[in-house]
Amino acid sequence: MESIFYTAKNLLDSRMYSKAREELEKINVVRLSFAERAEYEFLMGVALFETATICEAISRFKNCIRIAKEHCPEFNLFTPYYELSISYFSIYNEGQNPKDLEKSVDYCKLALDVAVNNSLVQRTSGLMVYVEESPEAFINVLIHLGVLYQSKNKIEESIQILLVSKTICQHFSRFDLLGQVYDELGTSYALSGQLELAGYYFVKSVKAKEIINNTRGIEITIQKHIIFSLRNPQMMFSEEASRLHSLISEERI
Amino acid sequence: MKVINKAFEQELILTESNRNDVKRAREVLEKALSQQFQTILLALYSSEIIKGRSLRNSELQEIEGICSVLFPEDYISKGNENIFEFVSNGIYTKKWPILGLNDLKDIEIRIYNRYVFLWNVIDINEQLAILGSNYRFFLAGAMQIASSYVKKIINFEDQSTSIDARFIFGEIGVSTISVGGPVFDFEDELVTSPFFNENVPGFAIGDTAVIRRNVLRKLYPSNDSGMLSAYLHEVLHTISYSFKNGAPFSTANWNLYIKRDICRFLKNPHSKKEITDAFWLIINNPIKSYFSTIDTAKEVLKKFDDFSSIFEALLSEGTVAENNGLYICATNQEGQPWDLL
Repeated sequence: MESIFYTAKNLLDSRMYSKAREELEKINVVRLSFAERAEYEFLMGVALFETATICEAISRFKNCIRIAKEHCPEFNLFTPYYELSISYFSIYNEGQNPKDLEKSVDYCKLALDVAVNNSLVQRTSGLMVYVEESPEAFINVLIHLGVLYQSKNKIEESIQILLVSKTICQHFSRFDLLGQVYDELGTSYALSGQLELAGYYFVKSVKAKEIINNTRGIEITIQKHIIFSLRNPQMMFSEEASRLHSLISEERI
Repeated sequence: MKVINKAFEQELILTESNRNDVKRAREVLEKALSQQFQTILLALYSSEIIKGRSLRNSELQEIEGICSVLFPEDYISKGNENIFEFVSNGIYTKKWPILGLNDLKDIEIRIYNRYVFLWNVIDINEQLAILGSNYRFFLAGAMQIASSYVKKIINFEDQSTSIDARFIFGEIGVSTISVGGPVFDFEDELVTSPFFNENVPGFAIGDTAVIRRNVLRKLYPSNDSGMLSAYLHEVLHTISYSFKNGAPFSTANWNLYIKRDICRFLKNPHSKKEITDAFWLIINNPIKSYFSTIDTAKEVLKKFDDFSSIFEALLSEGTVAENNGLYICATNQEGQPWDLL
């Protein structure tokens, strides 16, 4: 049976947020089951995030979580937690209030907990052991957490988290996300003053993005690399930078 | 938690400061890793002993072997009773750590230039591969352990995540890649965790295939084709997993891994025939011919260069040289310089 949210979801996927919101507003909420109600609140939150104030979106995401926790424990809370974290981070970026950053981190931790259970459960069937689901959610939430710790100025933690996500991307050959991880590792190392390592990871990012022909992504990385290098030329031109760059061709991406 | 012996760490530091002999660098790293993985294994066994688990004879032999390597002066083999006595004393006097599965996330392994966590299997194997080593480390639950580590960093209570602690440190065969993904074809196992089913000769996790020749030899002592069957069986699992996404690992790493494998094989000089025989599975890829009739698979298979073109490239760039019909790779030889991140 087709979901009653089919049209709205398609519109959201196509980034037509206003139309999705109009579509959702046509739905008679009273007749929805609890699980549908939770999903409705979540989808409305996504639509509002782009078309109204972030606070309204936050309120919808929280409604979703409340309904799900009270009435449908099987509801997957990863995306509501993750979107709440993103929402609070957007507010933080506008107002620089540390409390918003803390809230973003807290929701990110909750999202991480769900993501770990969703993504990395290994199943056994007879003698066969296999990873059932994609680790995409887990990697995305780790990258976001790495960025949040950059904002908290906890650079060492940020690097540790991003190194975990690097390993997971490599393990699952997720080159689409690996470039992004290398970008953030480059940024964290630059912020920590380890400029040659920063440059090394920016070059690795370009290599990873080349594999999947992500031209736009490559441009972004090169811009970042240039901006940091203009401030700190040793990132590109020191002896150590040359040494690290020469290692890249011998390493797996 | 660090498990490296001071003497081995000193040797790593010394070798790091004098990077002019790749053979020595390779041997020092292999020894240092063996010591660390053996210590972890002994620590895990100690925890099992404390819990009262009765150990199989094969496990007791393994503990005996580890003790004789790690503590050659203290330990003289005198049979099972003495192993227990020796291990009990070791536990009591804290001669080595005692590790439960939840401690694995905190274990740091010393490689060249830095410590990495045990779950960072990729960085450990990268150093071994770049130095031309025949050893590799496989850890089934690396990702679960990594996730527990992340939870620790962010001060998040870990809700008893189940951990797949099957690991092997051992000597691998000629090829480390198939069209399906990475291959750990263990010809011999130096350190094997106590959590394996001893009757399973191979398995696949995602796009990774693992073959255990020790088990194959035990199960089928007079059947040489067992290896090929196990290889094909596990690789087919990895193909069914990875081909639907375009086999990202193999398409991205095929040439690099085969180049490394060729150079590793050509540490000693070999004739063309010996090379062709050794890389038979890559050259006459039986899987390639099997899938050649399936359109979607054909598209993925097109992305893999032939062994001969990769070999020719190594010859023309001078990495492999020919002398009197024998081929040798220069990069992994004694006295060659090396460098690592």
